[in-house]
Amino acid sequence: MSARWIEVVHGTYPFDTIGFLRTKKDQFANPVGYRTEEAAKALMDVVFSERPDQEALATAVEEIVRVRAIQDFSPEIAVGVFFALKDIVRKVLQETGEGQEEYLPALLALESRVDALVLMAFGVYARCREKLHQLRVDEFKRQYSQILRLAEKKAEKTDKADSNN
Amino acid sequence: MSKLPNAQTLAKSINYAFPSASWMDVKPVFNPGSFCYPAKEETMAGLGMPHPHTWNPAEEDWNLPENWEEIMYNTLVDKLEKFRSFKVFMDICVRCGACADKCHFFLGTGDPKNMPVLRAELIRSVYRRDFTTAGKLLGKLAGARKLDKNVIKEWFYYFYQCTECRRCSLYCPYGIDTAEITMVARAMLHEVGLGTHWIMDPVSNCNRTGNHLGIQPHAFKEIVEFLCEDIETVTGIKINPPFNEKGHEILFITPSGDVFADPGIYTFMGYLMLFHELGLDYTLSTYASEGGNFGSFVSANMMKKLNAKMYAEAERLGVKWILGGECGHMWRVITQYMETMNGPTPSNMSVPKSPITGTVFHNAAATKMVHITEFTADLIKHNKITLDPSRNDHRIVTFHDSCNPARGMGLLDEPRYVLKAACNNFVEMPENTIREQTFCCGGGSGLNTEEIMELRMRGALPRGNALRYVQERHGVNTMACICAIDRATLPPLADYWAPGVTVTGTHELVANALVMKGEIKRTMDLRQDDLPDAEE
Repeated sequence: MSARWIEVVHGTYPFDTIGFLRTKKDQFANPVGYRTEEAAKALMDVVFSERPDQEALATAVEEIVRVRAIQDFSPEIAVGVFFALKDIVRKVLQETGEGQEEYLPALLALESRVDALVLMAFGVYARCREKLHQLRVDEFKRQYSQILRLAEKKAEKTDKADSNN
Repeated sequence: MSKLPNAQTLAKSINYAFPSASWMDVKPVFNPGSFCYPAKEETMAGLGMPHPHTWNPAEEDWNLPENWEEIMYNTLVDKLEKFRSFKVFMDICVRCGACADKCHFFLGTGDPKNMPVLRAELIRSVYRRDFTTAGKLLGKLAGARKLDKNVIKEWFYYFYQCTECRRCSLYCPYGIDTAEITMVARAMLHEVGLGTHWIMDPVSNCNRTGNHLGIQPHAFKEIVEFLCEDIETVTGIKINPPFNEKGHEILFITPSGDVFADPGIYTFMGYLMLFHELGLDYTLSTYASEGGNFGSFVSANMMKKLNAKMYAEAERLGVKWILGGECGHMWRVITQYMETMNGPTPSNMSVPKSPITGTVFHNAAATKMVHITEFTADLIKHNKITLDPSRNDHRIVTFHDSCNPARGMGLLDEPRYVLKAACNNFVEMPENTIREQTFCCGGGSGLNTEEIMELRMRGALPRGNALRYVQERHGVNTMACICAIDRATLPPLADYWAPGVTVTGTHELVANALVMKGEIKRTMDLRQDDLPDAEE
């Protein structure tokens, strides 16, 4: 299931890039591929465990959404990849064929959990986008910090001169 | 990518057969955040650039001149004749792919046209059609194509997604310098009036007043005086740096970002404190008030024109040599082009010799310009300054090798030597992300503009990823660098990819540690933040 989910994530990139994402294992030489695999591992651990570790889940989601939030994806595609977990699980159950009814309550619980996961991803996505715009404002302020300081001093002087007159 | 497919559709989209469309048929989409604003018509006209006009990358018609095809063809012929390296780079690539996954923009965007090999192919395919026999006869089969308006758009899109960092060149078995291909491509685009505002506005300002922001001499001086007031607040020492004074031994030139922008100003304060402590015989210039050279992102001629002020001022002021501040592309221009472009040096200049240690900088014999970290490393080596690195003990420092000093001039060990003397806690980032293999900040070569912050963050991912690693593993909270563009681009990089890491120049940390004669007890650093043990 982990491999299938990784394929789904890779599938959101252009064809010529997928081979690289799949095969290069170094975490610094292939940050996107690495983060995707790490996220997949964490998702499997967490989503399918009895008592998911909220913090571990948040970190896994954060690491991958932080990347997808600034790449050339629509918001739907950026966070939508988590929904794919539902389809993947359903498909695996279909393939195994037997005892589907007995899994139904567990499956429904899992689907709710995936919904929560997507909401979490949506939160990270929104914060990242907001951050991106804040970075632009902060950068502008840094760029002109001393010019603004000079302008303020001049304004102070003018004010003083005006009040003396 | 507007409709949300379900998982099956997504999974189906992965098939390992050949792609349905050739790369030549895939056109770039000009989404906001992924392209720079165009240069203003009046800016281009003022600089005498060819075909100044108003246009918008997001619109269909870019208002190219009627004979644009002829212009581009003639320019390509001219570049091939003039730059032997460019001609060789067009012919020699065997498309081995060694460079493909080395580009930070490819790693961050996942866009195959950001593989350096394919980016170069954008121009190589056009070259092949008109200048190679196979291309003339076989056309597309031989990887050749006609230059049309869409190709021009593609060039603008992708050659402004290359920061000329040259990481790919490091891995190329033939040593193809993709940065030079980008430089030629951008120069060609300029022939039909296509340039970016973020590059051309500073070029125009530099052309008139000597620095990127167009600050005039009196304002430049006033701002430096503010910084001297800040130095006095922190150290109790009053510094009066000389401006435009004749008869000094050394002219000091640094990027203007160090004077006007945070956090560069702290590095600039560091230089002034160091020079004061040494009693260095130097002067600043309000005309050569910019080390950076955005002309190098435009064309060889513009680079030469803007760089000429350095030697002109050195001659006018009668200095023996030039000491240069922490900058990136400034040093690539100096090391690789300056002597050819602006040399020979004025007759009053001589091979730089440190007046403090007597060391002769033979490596700078051609240009007569010494990098400040070479100068300071030499001082430390000869015990000429006293540093108290414990003042930086609250910092766990890593060093970002700026592309140009690292790959362009081999300046790898001097900054580290200086940092290790000024700080007790120094940690390297992973091996394949530093020194010659360093990853770009994502904003070099005139891409450090805010409208493409999104694109920059993509390009910044590999560096941010390595920084995040040492932040989590070793508690790194400070990233030092020796480049003014880095000091502008790394703060948002760190803020996004490794929040909590502060970006500093190397001489900011030196000055924090510098023990000065007659100083008050330091209770705060240059940013006027309290030192942790200040109350003791």
